[in-house]
Amino acid sequence: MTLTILYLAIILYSSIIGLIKFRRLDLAFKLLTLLLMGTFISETISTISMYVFRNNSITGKIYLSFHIIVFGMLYYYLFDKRRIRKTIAIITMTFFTLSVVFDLIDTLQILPSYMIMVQSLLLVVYSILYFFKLFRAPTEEEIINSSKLWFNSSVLIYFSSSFVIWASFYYLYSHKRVFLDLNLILTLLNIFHYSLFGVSILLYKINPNPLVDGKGH
Amino acid sequence: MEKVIDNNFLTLLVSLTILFFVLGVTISVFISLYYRKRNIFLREKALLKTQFEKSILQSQLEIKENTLNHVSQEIHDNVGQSLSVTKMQLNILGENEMLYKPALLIAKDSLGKAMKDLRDIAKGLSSERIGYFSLVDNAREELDRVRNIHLTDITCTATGAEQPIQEDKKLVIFRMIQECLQNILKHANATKISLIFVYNAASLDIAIRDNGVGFDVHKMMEKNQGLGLQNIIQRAAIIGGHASITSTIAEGTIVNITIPYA
Repeated sequence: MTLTILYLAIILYSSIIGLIKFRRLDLAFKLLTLLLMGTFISETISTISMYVFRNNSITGKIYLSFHIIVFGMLYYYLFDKRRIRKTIAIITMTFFTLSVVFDLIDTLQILPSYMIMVQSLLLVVYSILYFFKLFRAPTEEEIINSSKLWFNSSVLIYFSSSFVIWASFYYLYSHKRVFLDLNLILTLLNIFHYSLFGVSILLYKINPNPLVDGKGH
Repeated sequence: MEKVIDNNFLTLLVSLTILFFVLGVTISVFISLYYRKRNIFLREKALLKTQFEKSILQSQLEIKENTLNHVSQEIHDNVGQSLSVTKMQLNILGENEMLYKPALLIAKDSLGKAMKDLRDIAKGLSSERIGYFSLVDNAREELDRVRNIHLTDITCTATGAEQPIQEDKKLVIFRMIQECLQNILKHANATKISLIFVYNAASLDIAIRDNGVGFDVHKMMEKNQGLGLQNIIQRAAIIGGHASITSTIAEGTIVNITIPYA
């Protein structure tokens, strides 16, 4: 419970920083703030419904669709190259439609772990591509102070781990004790993930001077 | 069963730890490679800045030298001439006891012309004026000067609203135009010269055309003879733009220069 409160506090804190700096943020980071706010609301409802109904998969399903759209748009705005943007837009729309269709077909009681797995894999690919973009277009800004580095590192680490966890989800789900431990791991991972998002918004600076033309990706 | 579960869970934990470690190392390697690349770019940027400053200084010196040559020529051809006429007329008046009004008027006119010429020269003396006036106006003045001396058919057109350009850049652009004109006058044997300014949304395009003898651009560049041309290309690059030279023998030459405003 303490960890859950800490987790919610971190998301809330990151959202508040985002809201304070909202006007000065670019579109991608405005979306990140919206994502953090959405996550806070979803996680709060999810925690309550877990205690009341012993199931939070409905919130999980709705949140997943929101997550797909926001993350897709976020990376869409982070990249400059038209071809990559177009690909991200197509993938996001397809994936969003699929998630809605599966939500309608599947029973609402089961969390669509396979969708989370595919989305995690996609986000890992986006983040790797974004690392290439950062590498191709260095800025005068110290990379350690770059909000985009922390954001992207968080995405890479969290979604790689998420992929591994959800890939073994069905097996582990059938064992109650393991499920509880898995929840702990997921909470710790979430705390790490959203802390880095908070750091990323905290470090945000408008347009650090590019050293080269950054339209490589 | 419990042991199997624990083993599986342990496998997951170990996998996650390894994954975290691998990703951590990968991100650290990325940061280190990024720093290396960034340092190379910073060094290149510093070098470019030095080159840019050197180019500005060189342009200023060349413009000053050009202006001094122009001043010397103007003093010799116009001011000197007018003052000689004045002196002559005053000598005539000095020799005659009667006040000869037409001679006095001629002396007055000559003196007035000498004063006007001196004012024009004074106006053209400072290289700083390039920063104050528009590039097109300055180029037109330069073209007028060339037209007066060489009697060549020269046209200058500008399309689009003139955009503000950094003064240092303006100096280098002006010097490039001067260099092109000098090349034309020295080597092209042209009867027509046209200078076209096109102010686009993000960049200024300048085209300098002549109908002279033309030359083989590649041969000239390979033999390292076209130092003036290389200078134009290099200067354009230093201020973030680019220049290209197209020439056809017996038809003439076009120099295209594109300079971004920012």
